Amino acid sequence: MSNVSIYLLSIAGVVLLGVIIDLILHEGATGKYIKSIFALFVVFAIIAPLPKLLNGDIKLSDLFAVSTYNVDNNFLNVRKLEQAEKLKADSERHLSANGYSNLTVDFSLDPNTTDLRLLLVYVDFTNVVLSQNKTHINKYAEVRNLLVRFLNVEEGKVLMYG
Amino acid sequence: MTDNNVEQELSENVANQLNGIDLSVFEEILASLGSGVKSFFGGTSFWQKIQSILSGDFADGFSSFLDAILNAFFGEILGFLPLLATIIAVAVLSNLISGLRSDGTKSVAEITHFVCYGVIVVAVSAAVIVLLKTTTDTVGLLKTQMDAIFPILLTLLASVGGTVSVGIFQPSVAILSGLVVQIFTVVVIPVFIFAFIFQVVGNISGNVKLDKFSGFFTSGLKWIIGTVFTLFLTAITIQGIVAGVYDGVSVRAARFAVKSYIPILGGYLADGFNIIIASSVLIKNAIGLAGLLLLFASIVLPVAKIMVFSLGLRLTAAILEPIADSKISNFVNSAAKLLNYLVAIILGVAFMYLISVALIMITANVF
Repeated sequence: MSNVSIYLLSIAGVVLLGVIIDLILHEGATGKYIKSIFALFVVFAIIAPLPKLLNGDIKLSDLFAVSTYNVDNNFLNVRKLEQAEKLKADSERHLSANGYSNLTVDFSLDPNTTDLRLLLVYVDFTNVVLSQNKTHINKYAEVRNLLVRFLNVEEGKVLMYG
Repeated sequence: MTDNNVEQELSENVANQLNGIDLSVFEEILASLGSGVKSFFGGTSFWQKIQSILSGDFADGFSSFLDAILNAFFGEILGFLPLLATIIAVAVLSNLISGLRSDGTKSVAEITHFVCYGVIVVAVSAAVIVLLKTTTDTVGLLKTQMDAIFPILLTLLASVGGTVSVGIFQPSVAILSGLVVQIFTVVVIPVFIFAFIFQVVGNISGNVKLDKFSGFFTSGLKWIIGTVFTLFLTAITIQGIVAGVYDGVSVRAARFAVKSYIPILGGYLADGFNIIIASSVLIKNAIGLAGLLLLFASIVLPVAKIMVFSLGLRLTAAILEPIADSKISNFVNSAAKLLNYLVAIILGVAFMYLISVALIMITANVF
């Protein structure tokens, strides 16, 4: 028999006893005192499990144990890589629109964060095709300036080769 | 880039990101709910609901919601009618028998009252136990939904740049699903049981006076529920307001459909529009909204059940007041009032869940 059933039956037993006492007691001066004492017994029977509940099974560490929710870092890393690919393509399109076609842009990303943070920007000039009005200017400086403004990075982070 | 191209690319990105999210837990939860509940959800799977939100086909079906709620209410009324009729019949019988006694048989009348009262207590207690189980099961189901949805929403919030916002919301939602739910299941529900027992015992006999004890436990219920709600809602609302400020992302109205999320201004795509981030925002809001619909579907039947029974008991107490012993009508009326706390528990947990999800949805809706 479970503890709850025992508890409820004990209350029912005390109450039944009280009703019987109420029935058989003669009406008199002491009758009301006996009934008052009996009422106290009923109250004690009802709140009897409280001390056991408070001292026993309930542990405060369980009650105040807080579950934690972790973000899915794999999902965030995949999104970061997708954003990086898109940014590379957008950078190359931006350079092409400014007269520098066939440049290959690559990034070195911060591995310690799931946000897209650029550590270094690499620009490969191996296959560059310049538009006519770009042939007599310093292409490296101009590409650097274009990327610094487009990607909002410091000048020293843009490395060029080829 | 034309808006058709943008829409297509956005749809592809959304589909790509959605494939990377595990929604199987929601499908399991939805499958475990009854068919009546699924009708609240629109009869579709969780995945299909998200797709319909993203495609803008999500219909405003409030009339079907109201129909379903009314059907639930009337269905529960029919279920409880036999019990209420039994209570009235037993109470009237008790009154008749005590009215037939001759002088000098006061003890027989008391025994009769005790027996009839016992029958009514057993009948009401059986129903209250069922409703108590319904309440604990519903709160457990809400916790399961929270454990499933919050990691996904927080991940999506981080993917749109709301990293600091995640750090602000993370402890709040963890406290909701952990501490708050445990307070209700470990503290509030046992206090409810004590209050009910005091009502039963206090109305057995005029000599056992337990009204103040019963009042103590019901006051305790009110204080615990009210304090927990007030503290939690205040804290998370303030955090929600400042979360967007820390990240520098804007708190804007949530958008749900792909078509409505292309910021074409004067024929040009808005500067800085990032399709990947926009996809994450759409998915975050769509999953949030679908989660809230599932929440509603989970609580509407239990709340309807408890409220119908509570109202039925109140009506029964009103009917019994002039025709039966006052202790019987007092007990029935008190039981009805106590059942309102079960409704408060379910609605309170659901409301806190709703506010938490809504705040995450409206944070970091960039563009």
